[in-house]
Amino acid sequence: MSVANFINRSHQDKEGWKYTDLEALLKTAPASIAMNNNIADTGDHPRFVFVNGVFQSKQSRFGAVPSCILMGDLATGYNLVLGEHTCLVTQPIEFVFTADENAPNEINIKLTIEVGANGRLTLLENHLASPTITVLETEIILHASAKFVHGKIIHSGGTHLARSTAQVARGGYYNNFTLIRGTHLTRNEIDVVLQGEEAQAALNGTMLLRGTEHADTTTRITHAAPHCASRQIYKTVLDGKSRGVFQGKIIVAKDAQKTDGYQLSRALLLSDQAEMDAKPELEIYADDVKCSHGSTIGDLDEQAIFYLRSRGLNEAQARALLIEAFVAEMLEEIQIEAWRDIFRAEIERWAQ
Amino acid sequence: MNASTNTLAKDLAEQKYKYGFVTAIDSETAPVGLSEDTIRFISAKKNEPVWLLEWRLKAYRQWLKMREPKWAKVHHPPIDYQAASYYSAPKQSDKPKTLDDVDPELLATYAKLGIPLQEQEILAGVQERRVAVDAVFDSVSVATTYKKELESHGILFCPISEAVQTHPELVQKYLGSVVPVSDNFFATLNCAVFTDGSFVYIPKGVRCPMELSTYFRINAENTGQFERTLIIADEGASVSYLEGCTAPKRDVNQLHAAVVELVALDDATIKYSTVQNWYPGDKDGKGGIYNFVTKRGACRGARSKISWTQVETGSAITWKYPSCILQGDDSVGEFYSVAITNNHQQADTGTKMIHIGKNTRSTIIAKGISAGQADSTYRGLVKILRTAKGARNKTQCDSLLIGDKCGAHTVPYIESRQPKARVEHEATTSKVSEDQLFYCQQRGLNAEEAMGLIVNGFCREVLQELPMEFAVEAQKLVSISLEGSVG
Repeated sequence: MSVANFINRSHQDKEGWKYTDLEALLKTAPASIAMNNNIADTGDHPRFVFVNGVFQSKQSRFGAVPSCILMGDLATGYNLVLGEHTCLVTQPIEFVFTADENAPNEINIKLTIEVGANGRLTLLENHLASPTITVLETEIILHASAKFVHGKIIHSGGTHLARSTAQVARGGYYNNFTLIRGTHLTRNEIDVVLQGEEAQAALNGTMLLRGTEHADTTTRITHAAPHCASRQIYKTVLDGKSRGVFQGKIIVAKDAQKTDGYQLSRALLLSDQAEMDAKPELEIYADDVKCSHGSTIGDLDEQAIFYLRSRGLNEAQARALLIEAFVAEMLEEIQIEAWRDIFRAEIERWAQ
Repeated sequence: MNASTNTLAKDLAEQKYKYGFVTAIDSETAPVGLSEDTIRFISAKKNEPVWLLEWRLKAYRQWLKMREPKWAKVHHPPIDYQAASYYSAPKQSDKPKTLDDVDPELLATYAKLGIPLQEQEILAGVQERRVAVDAVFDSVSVATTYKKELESHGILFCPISEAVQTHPELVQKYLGSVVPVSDNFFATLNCAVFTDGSFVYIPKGVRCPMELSTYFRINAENTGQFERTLIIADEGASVSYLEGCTAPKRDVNQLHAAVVELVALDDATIKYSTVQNWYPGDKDGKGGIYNFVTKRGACRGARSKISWTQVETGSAITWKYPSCILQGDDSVGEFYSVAITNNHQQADTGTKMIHIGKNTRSTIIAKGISAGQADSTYRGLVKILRTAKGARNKTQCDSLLIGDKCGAHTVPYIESRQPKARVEHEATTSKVSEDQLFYCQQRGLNAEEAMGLIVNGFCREVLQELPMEFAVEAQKLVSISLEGSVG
C-alpha cells in the first residue's frame, strides 16, 4: 500500500475518514524532525532493524531466531512465517524501524506474519524517528490455536499510516497493543476477523498527543463464528491543539452466537484547544450475544488534584500522576512485564 | 434459542395492526406529480401570502439539486417522487366552524381510533385530565378542540395554515429558523410541499393548562403526508405536546416526511412526546409507511428545556433524529426513545445533542427492540463545542434482540472540544436470557406474559417519561406486540 492508496481510500470511504482529513494533514507535515536515533540496545532478544524500510542484517541480532525465518525484501514485502508448535521463539522479537538522511518521501513496508497451529509469537514494532511518511501494511494469519502478541510503539514524530489485518482461526488469539506518543499524523487501522470458534482478540492502545499532533485509531472486529470473544481498551490523553480519533466497530455476523464483545474508549482533554472524536459502533446480527461499549471524554478530576496537592505534590506532579493512573488500566492489559515497563516509562516521560 | 422464544418471534412477526382500516370519504386530491404547479396549487388551496409561496418555491428549487441521503442503515427501492399526489383533503363545503359541522364519517374515524374530539365537560368535583386535539387527516386539519379555553390563556393552538393567516408575523419569524430550508433532502421537500400541521405559541410565563396533541391520520391512497409543526414557548412558558399517527393497511409504500421545529426561550420548557404507529407493512415487508422525519428543538434561552420522548412501533422505515440545539446557558436537552421493529421493518433513529451554551446538560436513553427480520439502528451525535464549559452528557443505548434473523446496531458519534465538559456513553446489546424467562415462569407467568413483563421492564425508563395517556397506550402497544405468544 502507498500514500496514494490511503488517499484514495479516504475519498471512497468518507464516513470512515470523517475525522481525519488525510490530504490536508499530509500537507502540514513538518519538513524535518530531530533525528537522534540510537538503535543500539543492550538486550539479547532477537532484533531486526529496518532502515528506510530495508532490512539491515548487519545491524540486526538474530538470537535464537534464524535469519531464514524472515524472508523477502522491500519490493515484495517481508514474510515472517512460523510453523506449527513454534516453540523456538520463546523470546519476543523486536522490529526496529528507522530512517536516515537518504530516506525517500514515503517508505512502504509490507509484512506478512503467519503463525502455524499452536504456534506462539511475540513481536514488538518500534517506530523510531522518521521524518517521512511510513506506510505499513501488515497481514496476519493465525492458524488454529496460534497465539500472537503484537506490540507497537510509535514515537517517530513523522507520519504513520498503518493497516493491519488479522485472520484468526479456531481457538487462536490475537493481542495488539499500540502506544502512540510523538507523531505528526498517525492513522492506525486494525481489522480483525475471528473466523473460527473460540477465537479471541484483545486490542489495546494509548494515544498521548500534544502540540498539533493528530492520531486516529480505527478498529474493526468481525465475529464471524460462534463463541468468540473480543476486548478493547483505548485511552487517549490530549493536550495543546491535538486531535484524537477513535473509531471502533464490533460486527457480529448472523450465526456468531455466544459472542462476547467489549470495548472501552476513554479520553482526557487537558487543553481547551484539543479535540476528541469517538465513534464506537456495534453492528449485530445474532441474538444470543453479549456486547457492550463505553466511551467517556472528560478532564482530570479537580478534587483528585487537590487531594494530591494537599499531600505535598505540586500541580505538575499531581497531574502527571493522575494521567499515569488514567492510562494504567490499559497497561494492565499488557501481559509481558518487560514491555509493560517500557510502555510505562514512555508514558511517564510524556506526562512530565 | 428455545421453542418459546421461537414461537414468540413468529407471533411478533404476525401481530395484527389494529388501525389498518380505510375511511370511505370523498376527498379532493391534487393531480399526481410534483412540479412548481403542484406547489402553487397547494399554496392557493391554503390561500397563502406571497412570501410563503416564494419560500416554498425556493425550497423546491433547492430540492431539485439535492440527492436522497444514503448514509442511513435502511434499504428501500428508489422512491418515485412524481408518482404520488402531494395534496389530499376530505371534501367539505366550508371550513367547519364547530365540531357539529365536521363530516360524521371523519368523527367516526377518530372515534374508532380512540381519539376524543368531543370536549369533555368537567364534572362537578371531578377534575379530569383533558387533552386538546388537533386532528390532521391527510393534508388538512379537520378539527381542533379546546381552542376557546386555550385562547383565554393567550395560547395559540391551531393548524399551521390558519396561523399563517392569523399570526403571520410569528410564523414568518420562526418557520425554518430551527430546521433551515436546505437542511436535508426530506426537510427541503417538506418546505416545498407541506400542507398542514399544528402551530403552538405559549406566551410569556404561561403554563399550558392541558396537554396539547395532534393526531395524524393518513387515509387517501397514493399520497404522501407532509406536515409541519411549529411550537414556540416564550419566556417562562411550558407545554406538553403529544403526537400520534396511524395509517390504513396498503400494499404500496407511502411517504411521510414531516418537519417539527421547537423553540424554547428563557426558562421555557417543551415536552414533546410521540407514539408513532404508522402502518408497518405486512409480515413479508409489503407496504407500510416510509417515515422520514426531521425534528429539532432549539433551546435558545437560558435555563430552557426540551424533552423528546418517542415510542416508535410502526412504519416500514423510520428515519428520524429528534435533536436539541442547546444554545442558552444551563439549558437541558433530553431524548428518551423506544424503537420496536419486527417483520421487515427498519428503524434508523437517534438524536443529536449540540452543546453550545455553558453548563448545558443532555440525557439520552434509547432502547431498541428487534424481532423477526427487522433491523434497528441507534445513530446519535453528541457534540460539545469549545464554548460549552461545564457541559454534561449521559447516553445510554440498549438493544434487545428477539429471534436470530434480526439486527441491532449502534452508531454513536461523540465529539468534544471542551475539557471542562463530561461525556459518557454506554451501549449494550443482549437478548432476553433464558434465566430471566425461567424465573418468571417459575413464578407462575406463562412464556408470553414473562416476555411481556421483561420487555416492558426493559423499556420502563422511557415509558415512564410519557404523559399518562400515552404511557397507557404505549404499554398496550408493547404488549400487543407480544400478544398470542404462548410458549
